[in-house]
This record gives sequence, C-alpha cells and structure tokens, in this order.
Amino acid sequence: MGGAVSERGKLAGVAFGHLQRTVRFYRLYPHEHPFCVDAKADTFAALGEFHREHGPLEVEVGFDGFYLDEELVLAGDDTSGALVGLFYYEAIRELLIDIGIPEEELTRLVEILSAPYPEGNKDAFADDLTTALWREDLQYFGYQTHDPLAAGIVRDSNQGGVMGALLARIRGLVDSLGGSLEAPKPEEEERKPEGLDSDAFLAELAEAEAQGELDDKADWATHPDKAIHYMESEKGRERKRLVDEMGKLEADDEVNRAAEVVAWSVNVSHPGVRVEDAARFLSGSALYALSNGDLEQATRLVGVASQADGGRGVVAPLVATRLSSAEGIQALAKTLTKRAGRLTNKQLTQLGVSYLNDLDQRAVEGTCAAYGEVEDARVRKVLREYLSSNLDLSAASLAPLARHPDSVIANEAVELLGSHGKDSAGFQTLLSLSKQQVGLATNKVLEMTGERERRKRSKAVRESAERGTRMNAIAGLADNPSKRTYKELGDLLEGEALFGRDAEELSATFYLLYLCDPERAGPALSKVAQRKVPMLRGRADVQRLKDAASECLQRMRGTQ
Amino acid sequence: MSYEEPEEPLDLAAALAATEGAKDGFETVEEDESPFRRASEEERALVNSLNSACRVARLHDLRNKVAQKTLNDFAAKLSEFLSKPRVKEIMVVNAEGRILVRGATIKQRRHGRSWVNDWLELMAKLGIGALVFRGRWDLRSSTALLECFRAVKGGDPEASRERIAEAAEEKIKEPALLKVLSLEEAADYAEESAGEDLPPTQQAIFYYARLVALAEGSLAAIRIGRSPDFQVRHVRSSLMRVLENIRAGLFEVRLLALTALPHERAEPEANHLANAAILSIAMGRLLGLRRGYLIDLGFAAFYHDLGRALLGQQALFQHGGQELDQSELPSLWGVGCTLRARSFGSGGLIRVAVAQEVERVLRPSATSAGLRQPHVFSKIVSIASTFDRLCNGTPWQPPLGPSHALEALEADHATYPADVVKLLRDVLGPRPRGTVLALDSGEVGVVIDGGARRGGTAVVRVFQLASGAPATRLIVREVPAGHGSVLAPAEVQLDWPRALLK
Repeated sequence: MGGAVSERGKLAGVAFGHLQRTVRFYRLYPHEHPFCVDAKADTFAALGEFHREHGPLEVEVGFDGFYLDEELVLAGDDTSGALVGLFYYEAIRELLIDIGIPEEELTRLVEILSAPYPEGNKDAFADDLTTALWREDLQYFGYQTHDPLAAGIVRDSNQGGVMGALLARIRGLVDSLGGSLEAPKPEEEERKPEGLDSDAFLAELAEAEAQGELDDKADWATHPDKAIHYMESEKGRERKRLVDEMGKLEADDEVNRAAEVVAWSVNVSHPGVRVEDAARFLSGSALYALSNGDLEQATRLVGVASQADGGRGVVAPLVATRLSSAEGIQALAKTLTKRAGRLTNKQLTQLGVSYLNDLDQRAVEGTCAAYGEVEDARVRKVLREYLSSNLDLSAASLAPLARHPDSVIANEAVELLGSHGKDSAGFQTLLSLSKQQVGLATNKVLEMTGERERRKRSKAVRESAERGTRMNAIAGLADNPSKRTYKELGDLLEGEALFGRDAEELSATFYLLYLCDPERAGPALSKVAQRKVPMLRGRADVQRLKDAASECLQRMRGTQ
Repeated sequence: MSYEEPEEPLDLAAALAATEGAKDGFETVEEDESPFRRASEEERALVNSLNSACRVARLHDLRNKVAQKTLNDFAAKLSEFLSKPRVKEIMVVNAEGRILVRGATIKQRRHGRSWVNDWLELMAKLGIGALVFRGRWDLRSSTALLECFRAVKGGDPEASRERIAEAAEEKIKEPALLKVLSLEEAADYAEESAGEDLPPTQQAIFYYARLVALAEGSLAAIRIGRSPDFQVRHVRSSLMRVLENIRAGLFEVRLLALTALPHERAEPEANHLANAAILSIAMGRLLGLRRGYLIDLGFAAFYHDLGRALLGQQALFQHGGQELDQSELPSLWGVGCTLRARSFGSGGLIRVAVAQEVERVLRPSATSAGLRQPHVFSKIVSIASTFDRLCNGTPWQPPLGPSHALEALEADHATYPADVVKLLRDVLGPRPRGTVLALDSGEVGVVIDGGARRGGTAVVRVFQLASGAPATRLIVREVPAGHGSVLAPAEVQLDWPRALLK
C-alpha cells in the first residue's frame, strides 16, 4: 500500500489493496476457495465505502504506483499479481472504477486481471490484458491507454528507428490521402465557405439513416443495429444460418482448427511451412491448454501433432520433447493440481499417467526435474507412478532428488528408487548414493538388503534379556546367515556373555555361528569345547558351553 | 521533447532490417519514452522548489532569510539535476491542469489545492508557457533568475513574459541558459496525445493510414524471414479504434470509401490487407457479432494473404518432385508466415486457419480433404479479399471497378458463397463506393456512398459536367437505384479517386 495521508487516499489504497490481494488469491487458488471469496467480498465492500464517501474511484497509473491526485495510494512491486506493473506495462495510464459496480462485474474484472498473460518475448497463446479488457467491455471499469501512434504523436514525433519510420510512413500516407493530423481550430471552422460540404451532407444522411423508421424488414439487412432483429425475421433466415455456423466459435475450437490446419500443412510438405514453427505452435498451444487446466485439450493437441508427421516422424518428437521438458511437466502438474479436488486418486492418476505415456519415455527427465517443485502430494504421486513404470530410465535423474532439501521429496525419491527391488537400476542408484553418504539412501539400502533387521537381531542375540526374543532372533539370522553376523556374535564365545543361557539356546547360537562362517566357527568352537572348567564360579555355565560346543562340532562334522 | 532537428526517418523495410535480433511485436513501454510518464520525486521536488523560490522572491527581498533558504534550495537542486549524465536541458511546461517536467506529468489535484495550482496560476499570470533550463547553473544564475521574476509585478501576461525574457537575457550569463516560451510557443509541448479530436473524415484517413503502414511493416518483416507480428499490439489497437469509431456514420462512410481507392503501386498488398480487414469488419457487423469476435475477424483478415507477398519472389514451387495444387500455394506460404508469429491469442489462432481456408472457400481441393469446412470468418475474408482484388485487378485481369466486381461475385454462385456475397452487397450497396457513374443528366461522378441503407440510392460526387468540362464546384447528387450507368475504370480519364474523398 502507498503512503496516502488523506482519508480519501487511504480509502482508495485500501480498496486497491484488497483488489490486488484478490487477484493474487485468484491466481493461486480455485475461485471458490474461501480466500478468494473473502478477498473479493472485502474488495467489494472497500469500493462501496470509497464510492459512498468520495464518488467514482479514479487513479493515475505511474510506473511506481497508483496515484489519486498527488497521493500514492498503491505502490508497485515485482510480485505476481501486482496491479501496478500489470497495468503500467500494458500502457494503461488511468483507471476508473465507477459507482455501483455490480459484484458480477467485479468478479469478471478479477478473473481478467488474474488470467495468465504473455510475458516478455515469449510466445503468446492468450490475448494481452488490454485486448482482454477491451473484449469484455466492462461497464463500470474504465481505463485510458497511452497510444504511441496517436495523431498528435504521429504529427510531431522526431523519433528514429523502426517506430520513427512507422510514424513517418503514417504521416506520409495521411498526407497522400489528403488528410490532416491537426484538429481544425474553431476559427477555421467558422471561416469555412458557405455552400455544399460533402462531409456535412454524408453525416446528415448517416444520421437520418440511423434515426429513420425501418418498416420494411428487408432494410434491416443493411443496418448493424438491426442485425439481430433481421436474422430473427423470415427474410433473415439465410443470414442466421451463417451465424449458427459460428456457434462453434469456442476457444478450444479455434485452437483445434488451427492445429489441424498446421498439421495438414506439414503433411503436404510445403517449403513455406517450417517444421520447427509448426512444432512451436502445437507445443505452445498444448502448454497453454495445460496452464488453463485443460488436460484433455493438451492431449488432443499431442494427438494432432502425432498425425502431422506425414510419416517423417519430425513434428511429433519436437512437440513431445517440448512438452516433456521441465516447463511442460510443471504445466501438467499445475493442471493436475487444479483438477485434484474434483477427482479420485485413481482418476487423477489415470489422467496424468495416460498423458505422460502419450509423451512416451521422453518425459522422464523433465518429470524428475520438475518433481521437486510440485507441492501437491497427490500430483507427486501421479508423477511417481509414471516414473516407476520407467524406472530404468529415471533412476539416474532421480538421484538429485534424494538430496532435496525437503525431506518429504527426498524420501519419496528414495522410496521410488527402491521400489523395484535389489535387481533394479534404482537400487544401483541407491547404492551409489549410499556411498556418497546420502543418509536416506543408506537407510533404504540397509532396509532393502535386510541388513537393518539383521543388525537388530544380532543385537537381540547379544543383549536381549528375553530368551524368547533371543531365540527368535537366532532363528531369523539363521535364515540369512552372513559373515557379518559371525563378526558381531563371535565375541560371545569368549568370556561370560553366554553364561545363564540354557543348553538349547547355546546349541542354536553355536550352530548359527557355524552357518554364518564355518571356517572361523570350527576353531572357535573347538576352543570353547576345550575350555577349562573353573572350580567355583561359573562352573555349570562353562560346562554347558563346552557340551554345546562339542555337540555343535559333532553336528558340523556330520554335516560335512 | 527537444529543440534538436529530427533525424531523417528510414523507410520501414530498412528500419526493420537494421534491427536484427530485435523483439518481434512484443514492445513494452519504456519509462523514458512514454509521454505519460509520471514525474519522479526528484523532478517534482525541483519544480516545487522553483515554485517556492519564485513566490518567495516576489514577496520578500532576496536577502531575507526565508528567501535565501528557498533560493539556495532551488539553486542546489537545479545545479544537481543539470549535472546528471544525459540531462541536456530541463523543460518545465505549463499545460492545462498539469505541469510537464522533462515530458513527465505532475497533475493538478482535482480535489483541494496544491502548489501545482499555485504554479500554474502564476505562470498564466505571467504569460509563460514553458521555461527551458540549459547549461550549468549556480547560485548566482539562480539568483539572477529570481530577480527577473521580482521585476515583474503583473499586468498584461504577454508583456510580462516579454519583460521577464528580456531581463533573463540581460542578467543570466553563460554557461547558464534560459529560454522563456510563450503559451503559444509551448502549446506543442503541452499536448500529450493530441489528435483524438480529429473530425470523422480525418480520423478515417488517419486510421486507414495506420493500418496500411502497419501492413507494410508486416510485409517487410516477412520478406526478411521475420514474424509478421510487426507492432502487433498497434495493429490490435488500431482495429479497436476502428471498431469504436465505426458506429459513427460519417467515419464508416469515409473509411469504406478509402477501401475503394486504387492500391498504392509501391506496396499494393498492404492496401489489400487493410481493405480486407475493414470490409470484413463491416460484413461482420451485419451478422450482429460482438466486438470481441469482430476484432478477431479484422485481425485474421489483416494477415489473410501474407503468402502472396512472398510469391512475388518465387514463381513456382515444387517439393519432393510432387507439384502441389497451384491454388494452394499462396495460402500455404501464408500459413507458414502466420506460424512464424508469436501472438496466438484468439485472433492469432483464427488467422492461422483463415490463412489456409480463404482459398479453400473458393477452390476446394482434394488434398485438403479431411479438414473442417472453412470457418465463417474465412468465407467473409475470402469474399472481401476477392472483391478487393477484382476491383484493383490481378496480373491476369484488369481492374473491374467496384460495381462490376460485385456483379462478378453475385453472378458466380458456384464459386462464391451467395449468402456471404449478399452480406457484402448489404455493406456496400448495389453500386459501391468508387463506382464511376454516368448520370442520366450526362454528368459523370463517383459514388461516395453506395446507399446500401437507402434502398440503393447512391450519393454521387460529380466531377465532370454534362458538357464534358470538369466540375469546378462541389456537386453532390443522389442517384436512385436503376438510374445512371456504370463506367469501367479504364474509361475514366479524370482523377476520380481524389473526388471520392472530398
């Protein structure tokens, strides 16, 4: 908000501040979201308050803010949805919000202001703001634009460059047509000679035509103001058919029609139609459809592109490559986010994965690159589904995500890498990450290899006070014997660690050690079998150890 | 704003070619170039301090403490501002309700009073339209300036200004320079966007010229392989202004009359594109289309025939050993051009389709089987375009003139969709503007309004009397349908196009 000091300025600042906030919310949330609804209500109320106190709200748009008379009421900033920049760079220099603006018109205004507009030198698949406002022809919202080609500027400019050449050319043409860029001064008007003036004559005729009663409906055919009435009459039926043909003039129809023409033009291999232009158009259209949440339309356009090849396989790959880029996948993610609220998880997944599958495996890298930016967990799940079905390709591209600062993202990447088991490329990536000290990857590897469980059991055998727990752990370890287990449990054979354990447990423990490392277990158990029995403390325990070791050695021999 | 002589402008094609790598059509408003730039805080502070210093100087002796303070403040600000790089001069223009400083606006309050009102009143009283500061200013020259203002107490504004100017010449010494402009001299600098109050006929000429010049720019751009979106925002804004003005009867009459002029020899395609756009819009209005659709229609028509501009350079195209249907070639070059564009809003999308479909409306071909039926816009543009070509002639056919061109369209139902041709006739009338008529009285004249809305009663500007002598005074006749006979353009020796616009 600006630094307004007057009551009027403050009220204007509040109203525009609310409007700006509403536009931002409309860009971020579904329009029925409470944030949007409340912000719009606040704007409506603030405008009403200004109107009641001070009449129409009219401000100048400067590059640094909105000014009410000389007061800055809304300062500009560079953030998305900032009104000042939005208007200023569209050459809009004055704004008016009139008394009595209905809520529906305010809604429409906010919708227009919050729509995506072309940025900088990018391809534009939407009208610019000025055109969008002009099209809508709002009744309570007025604006003045700066026209660099206005007659006064054309007349006086001494600019150079392209603009200067254009202005000079307009000047030259006006001159050659006998026109003038100077408004006649009142005294010149008065000095006009008496007599016939064709301008006045034609103006009178035109006025009479406009005001005349048209009894014959055939005459309506030539009057734009009567066009609708004419077409409703019997005589206008033929013309009505033309208008009915226009019924299909919906936005997506235009893009489909254009896309089909482009695809056809590529198919006939005409040298005037450059393949890269066609691909740029088709992919740009699809991206724009995605940015509007229209996944079906984007899918259709991908389909059109695939038919544009004429068997040469040129356009479709170019289109798919662009849509498969991080930019393309981010647009898809935005679309899915918008749709997520109205679909079940299954439907959402089906929708997203089917689109990605149409792009083939090209989208793997872009999906991985975009993944970290996707906020919606349900949408990330859709992307994971696709990546999972292409894990051999995606594993290497997923590696950076395992280091993502957001632990949720990193965890999801690691889980995905491990999802296809130890024989997969994902597991190899995990091993590599583990070697690079990526903690999450290491944990996953431990989990996948059973190492974590093994360590847990090994610890239980060593330290648990519960016989049952120890016996279960021994049984589990025996299922996957490993030298590491021997290394961890071998020490038990020395000292008093196994004192107090019964013969059955000792037998099981020793046999486990044999299974884990027969070469080292033999000499170690022999040593136990030959252990000296003490006279007093531990006599029974040592004897049990010796017996169990001897039994185990016998068993070992039998096995060998 | 500057006193410097204007540079000689390049022609459009040369200017475009000199901007290799420049942005195509996505021009934004540069702060420093916009006449609507709001004055910066620094500029406002400078003019405010000038105002204070002048007022205080007129009330107090310059040795007074208050006067000294304001004088020092002003002198420091002026000196600092003029020493900035690229600041050659500071022009303070006093306009209606606003001050323009270096072209940027300081607006007067609509509610309440401010120093801006005070300054404007003082300047009006002294007859001063603008002050121009140049060179290097210090405290001594600033003091001299204020002494000039002190010396004049009132009376006739023009006399006051002259006295101030004389005193300034005498007291202010180089390197400080001051120019004191009268209200009249400053008037040119005080206008921000003059010209919108042109009368309808002049407006029609102006917007027609804008469209033709912009079309020339687009054609020049595509010929050097660039996007056709040359100043595309201005194309749209020109079409918007045409649509806003076309409801005014005289504007419409004059604008349509301009489409009846022979094409410029240097760049006939530019006239053709502008004409097709205007005629299409006029036809679209009879379908009751909303203005959003009308601008798309005009936009598509404006770019509908870019292919022909390139065909001038390439006579025959073959590709892959297969010769394409000759009739499709220009349209496909046109599609290629529209695809090079960067602007695909709804007008931009429909122009891609229209570029290909305009020829298909007239000559359906087997190769385009499978495509949708041509859009209504394509039909309208196609008829408007054909009419304009027939009027002006083609390499294989001499100009027919508007009346015969319309008859040719009406006679061939198989080629030209009758419902759309009827639409054109309802815009133009049976004897369209530009038709040269031999009246029953023996006079010869040009139709300046086809009388579409008056049962075909044409308005004719007579340029040749029954005696064969040229008409020396303005004679306008209403000629009911069925009267007079149409002459072919070749039969007319006089300069009828001039008569058309008068």
